[in-house]
Amino acid sequence: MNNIKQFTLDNGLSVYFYQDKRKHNVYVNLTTKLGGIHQEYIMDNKKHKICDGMAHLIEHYVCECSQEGDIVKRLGQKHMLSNATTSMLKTSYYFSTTKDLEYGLKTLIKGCYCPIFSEENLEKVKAPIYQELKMHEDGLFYEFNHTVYDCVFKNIKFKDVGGNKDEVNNITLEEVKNCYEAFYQPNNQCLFVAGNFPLKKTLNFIKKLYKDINFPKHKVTYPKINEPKKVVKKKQIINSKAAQDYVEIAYKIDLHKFKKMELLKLDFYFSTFLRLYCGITSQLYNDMVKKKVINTSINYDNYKIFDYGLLSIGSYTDKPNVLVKNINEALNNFQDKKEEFELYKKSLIAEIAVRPERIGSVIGPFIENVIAFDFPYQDSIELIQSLNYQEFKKYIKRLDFTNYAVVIMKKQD
Amino acid sequence: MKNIIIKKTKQFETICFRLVFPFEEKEEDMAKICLLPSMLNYMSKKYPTEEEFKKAKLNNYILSYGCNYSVIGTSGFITFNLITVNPSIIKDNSLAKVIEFLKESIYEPKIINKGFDKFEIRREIDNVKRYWQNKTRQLTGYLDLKVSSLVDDEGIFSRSISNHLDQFDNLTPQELYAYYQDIIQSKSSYIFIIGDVKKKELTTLLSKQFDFTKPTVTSKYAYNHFLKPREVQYITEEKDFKESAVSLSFKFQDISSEDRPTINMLRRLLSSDITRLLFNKLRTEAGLVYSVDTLNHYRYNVFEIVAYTNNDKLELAKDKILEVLDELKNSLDIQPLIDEIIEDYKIAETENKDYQGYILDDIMDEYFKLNENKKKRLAKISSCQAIDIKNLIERMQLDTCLYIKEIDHE
Repeated sequence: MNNIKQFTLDNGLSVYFYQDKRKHNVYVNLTTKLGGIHQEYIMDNKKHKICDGMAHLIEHYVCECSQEGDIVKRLGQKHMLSNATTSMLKTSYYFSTTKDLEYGLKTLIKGCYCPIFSEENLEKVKAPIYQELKMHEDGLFYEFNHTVYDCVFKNIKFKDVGGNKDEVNNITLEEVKNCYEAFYQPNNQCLFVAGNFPLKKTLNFIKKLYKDINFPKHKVTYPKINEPKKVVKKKQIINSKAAQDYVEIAYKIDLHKFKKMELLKLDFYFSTFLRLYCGITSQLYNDMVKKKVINTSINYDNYKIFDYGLLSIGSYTDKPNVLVKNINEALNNFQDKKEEFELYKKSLIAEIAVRPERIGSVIGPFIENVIAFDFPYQDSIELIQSLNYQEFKKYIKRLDFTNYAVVIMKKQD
Repeated sequence: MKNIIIKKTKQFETICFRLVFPFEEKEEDMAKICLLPSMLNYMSKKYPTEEEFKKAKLNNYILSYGCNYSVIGTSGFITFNLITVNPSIIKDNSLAKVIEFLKESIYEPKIINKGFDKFEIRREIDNVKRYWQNKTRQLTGYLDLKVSSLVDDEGIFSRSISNHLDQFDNLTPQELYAYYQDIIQSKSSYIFIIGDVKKKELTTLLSKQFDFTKPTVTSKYAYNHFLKPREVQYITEEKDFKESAVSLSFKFQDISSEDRPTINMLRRLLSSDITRLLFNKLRTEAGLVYSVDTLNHYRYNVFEIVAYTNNDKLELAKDKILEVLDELKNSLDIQPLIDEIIEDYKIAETENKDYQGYILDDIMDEYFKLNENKKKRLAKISSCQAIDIKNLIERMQLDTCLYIKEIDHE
């Protein structure tokens, strides 16, 4: 059952409402489809480059330099929990409140569309970002993660949502203004409202707010990035402050051949595959522990970056080469795991069944579906029930696990 | 049943169980308490491998299960948390089976030669050692440990397994098992439950699996160990981190448990979203820092303010922090800010009703008298006046000023 209602405003903004009268809160999220991985756009026939860290810088800029004042601060003054985040695919501004929803909507929506562009403001915003980046640099995995992306991708320049200090330093006011105008358009944004609120009244209020806002008219397109299929570098070793060696094997998976709906299914099958082949119940994990190759869990993640999947699998180990060999063997030797597949499917159905008890558990995955897969529906029990082992095998067999890079982070004694 | 506390509510789709074993924490037992949760988190006699244990969880619709411990002074709590789907949502889930799993995980562990599994102990020791080594190689982790050791000359606030890693060297599986028998197996736990349940039916199910005739521990739970103010110490260290920080730790003269609401209010004035006095002064006005945080270790009488910035701005950041406190002490006009924070507390009370963990914490706090319940605390906070803040800051004494400077490699 899909409890989320969708509306499209005249200006192109997609509005999604999820009502739950049991809740005491309302959660509002305005998301722009501009994230760390976006690296160029064409506006009014002119091609623009997006520097690393631009989306994150604009997030700070919009929050702190709006004509309406500091958005987070103003919402905070009305006792609303508020913040903004930038991820690979999106920038989100959000708040939750128990009262005065209209004030919150007005502050957030009006605030996001009237930044004051000035050199002074830009410098003011940049200063704390430098320090934030320095803080990230101190993390054990900062350089490591950058190295993984360097080894895997040639033309996809993304390394880190925050970017690096030099690139952020060189961002000009004009670049910020152009990028803001290109992406902060209602037809490139979504507004989510979830919790206990009056639907009709809220929709009318949102419509009225947007009626009063003028948007610059630009023709914006986003060119495809021509990324070669092979990884750039097969192996890289770096030194670090970590107390033990860490190795990661990063597979570059070509997703061109998958259609839109197939990608959504693949997301489920892929994560199930990783749990079956690298998780606690996997033969790989249990063998590696018994042989003392690892003594902690195997970390795994998969990201969709444009038309590629980045599948990363890694762990702390004193025997990085042995672990890499075993991961590769495990992934390339399909074993029959029907019983475990059904078990994980069962647990996913349970997880979806209890999502309504938290607003975040409903709206978080929904936003992900909208932004990453252009699929404006909730995950449903029926959808999960329709997935099956035969199809799972077919999907996994379409993936190529021979195209990978290995990055080793050497420990510091 | 006196040890079973059930909160029935239709608000959630899950049922949450929390079993609590209070114990007295001793310095010589730090390695044991550190390792014990891992012996009970991933295996049991019936499910002796991680793989079997995990499959049993999935089969029983257990969304999460875990054992952990927390310590206040020398009063500790071993806590088991289990969340399952309410059988009214997924029909083939059985609470009887879930409760049986819980009992087996807690009371019937995997034992070899009258001890826990030696191989698993060794794994866990390696993981703990790596965790602490990694933590101290990053600024925030290093600061945590350094500050607690500098402000504490009595060795309780700063007590940490990271200072006792040698205890792992001689610990045998049998000693760890004996410790487990002493603090868990021979005891009854307190069981807190929240969800849409039938109280009578649930109590019967629990009584079938758990032996409530065993003794329960009732030590002194609400533990305060107020450290005494001393003459201020200034310490500078150069470290190989990529950022710098200044940490100011304060202690209050003549502190008592009655000061707690006022100290909380001071913390909120300085760093809550609604007032952001430190942030406004140090970042918005002066552009000095990326972040400035407050930490209130109330039970030990330590109030810390830490600012992250560059080497050349550390001294200025320190001065600005002191300036904020001084302004707060001398301002006659902070009552509106206090009233705003009181309103914030009231709203947070409403918001938190959507979270079962929060409701359970409140019930547990009141049951063990760890804190006053949220209602009473709100009443106390609501009576806070500007003069209380002024009086509190006058009793606030700088104890330790620690500068961590990034090594200049040029």
